[in-house]
Parts: sequence; structure tokens; C-alpha cells
Amino acid sequence: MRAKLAGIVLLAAGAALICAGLAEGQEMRVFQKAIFTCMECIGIG
Amino acid sequence: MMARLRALGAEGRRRIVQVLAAVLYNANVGGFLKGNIYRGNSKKFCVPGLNCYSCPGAIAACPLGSLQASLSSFPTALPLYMLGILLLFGALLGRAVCAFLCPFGLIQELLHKIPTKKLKKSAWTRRLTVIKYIVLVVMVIALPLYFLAVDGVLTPAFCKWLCPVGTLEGGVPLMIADEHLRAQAGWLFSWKALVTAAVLVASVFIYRPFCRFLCPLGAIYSLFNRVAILGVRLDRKKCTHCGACARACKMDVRIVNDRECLRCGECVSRCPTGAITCKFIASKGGKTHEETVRTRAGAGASHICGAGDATQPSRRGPGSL
Repeated sequence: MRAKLAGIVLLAAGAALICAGLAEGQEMRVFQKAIFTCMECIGIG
Repeated sequence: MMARLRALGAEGRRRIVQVLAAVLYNANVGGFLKGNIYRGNSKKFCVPGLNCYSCPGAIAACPLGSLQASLSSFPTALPLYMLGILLLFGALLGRAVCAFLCPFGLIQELLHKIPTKKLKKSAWTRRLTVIKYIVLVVMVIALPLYFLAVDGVLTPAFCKWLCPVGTLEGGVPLMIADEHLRAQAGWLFSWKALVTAAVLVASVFIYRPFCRFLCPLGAIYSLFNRVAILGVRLDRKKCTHCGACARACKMDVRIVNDRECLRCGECVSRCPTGAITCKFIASKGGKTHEETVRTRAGAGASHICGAGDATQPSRRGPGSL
């Protein structure tokens, strides 16, 4: 029961952090990185 | 349809989910043909498993690469969005992400099906699983922040020097399609190709070597295993610590839902007391406590399963590491 409650609390915290991040436009940092070829990731550097 | 799914067994059903996830994550098939990556709005979001966003097929972002990229504003701004995403996936699924929703986990499992002699797990392999936490702290967090402080530019150290997924899913297809990229490949690509090849070859002989020993994303999700909402649950009142689940498992688990458990549910049918249940897979095959007691009483067994009796001390079985 305690584990389930902890899971629900963490889930809610995760959702809250996502909303806070979206409010600050942090998803755009992810977007800007993801839409260009990551040279480090593919081994060019 | 349901009867056919049940007939597949837990592993078969899990394999279907794995394949669907891999196909969905990399649905931009045109990217493989054109040799470029997807730029749609879905790349603002992350998939739960390890899938390089530089894969031509990737329609969403990689959680590890995005976490490292998000550290670039540290300490001015904390990466709330990425922390929230990891918290959400972790709290919901824990390492069930690894078992069901990671394409690289699928690749390793398929390679392991090649019939050869296999390296069995041991106390030593359990000890080596700590390495992935060191990779998480050093390569995903510390080194990127170090390079940010020294150079003013964040270097995603894990992606750059270790991640085999970026090489396999991003580097190889992009270089096949683009001769200009091929011309730029140097010692770094050679190193990463070597790492990738080593992991793939090791997968033939060792079950999920990257997941067990190196994956920092698995390390993150492992922290949530005991509290994750969906997936396997262990009823500690029914558990007699016989070790049947740990013996049946190819991962370095001591008990279900510990940090090495992938929460795949394939141990459900192995538990003699029905202590293991699974929330999103039909878990047929596990006996209930009452059925086990009746069976043992009928066979003349002198010991009765102590599950559920608070006065009986629990003991570690022979299968525990």
C-alpha cells in the first residue's frame, strides 16, 4: 500500500515538473537538440 | 484473439509489445531512405526507452540525450521538464520500460537467441551491475557539467563516448545515406563502432549486457522499481524466499522488483505460492497460496508454505545471490 502511494505521489510530482518545465518553455531545448543531427551521438564529434 | 495472445505466453506477448514500440519510435521510414532526420513537433517529447533522436526514423527525442542537453542551463535553471518525464515513466513503469519499450533491449534479446554457449549470471555479474550507476553519475551528469563549466559548451559525454544506440540507429544509417558524413568519420566513430560491435557480440553470449552493466537509463528507472505502479508486484506476505523467481530469471535479480528486475512478468508462472502478480499482462500459471498448501498436503509434504503466517520467519532460498 505504501509503495503504491509512493508511486502515485511520484507520478503526480513528475506531472507537476513536466508542467513547470512546459511553462518555462524547456521542451524547446529538447526540440532544438532533437531536430538536428547530433554529431556527438553518431560518432562525428 | 485473446486466446491466441494467451497461447503466446508472457515472453511472446512481451515480444509483440517490444516490436510495436520499436516500430512506433522509428515510424519516420522516409528518413532512412532520404538520409535525414525527422523535424516534427513530436520531437518535443521523449520516448521512454533508449532510442537515439538522430536515428532517421525517430519521431521523438531520446530521454538520455535530452537530459544531458537540458543540463546546459544548469545551474541557472533546473531541467524540470526532463526530470518530470523521467519521474513519470519511472513511477509508472520502473524498469518495465527496459523489458517492454526499449528497442536496444529487443536487439540484445534477439541476438541472445543465437544458439551458442551462454555466460551464466553469478555473484560477480551482480556486482558488475553497479557500473551503470557510475556511468549515470559520471558520463550523464558530471562530465557534461564539467565541460559546460570549462568550455562553456555542454558535451553529452555518454552519447559521445559510450552510447551504442546512437552509432547503430543514427550513425550507421546516416553514413550509409550521406557520403559527406562518411568523409567526416574519424577516430571517434571508430571507437564508437568498436563499442557497439562489442556490445552486440557480447549480447550473443551474455543476456542483455548493456542493460545489466552499462545503461544509465536502466539505472534511473531501477530506482523506481519498488514503487512503480504498473507491472509485477510481489506480495511479501505470500513470498517464502524460495528463490524460484530469481533462478528462472536471466537478470541479476535477488528478488522480484529489486533494482535488477526488468518487471517482465515471466517469473509469474514460476512462483509456487502465487506471490507474484502482474498488472498489465494476464498472469496465468501461478498457483495461489491455498492451491500450493493443498497440493503439498496431498503429497505428504511435512513443511507447509509459511506465507501469510506472520509468526514464521522468512528465509533465503538456494537460488538467491
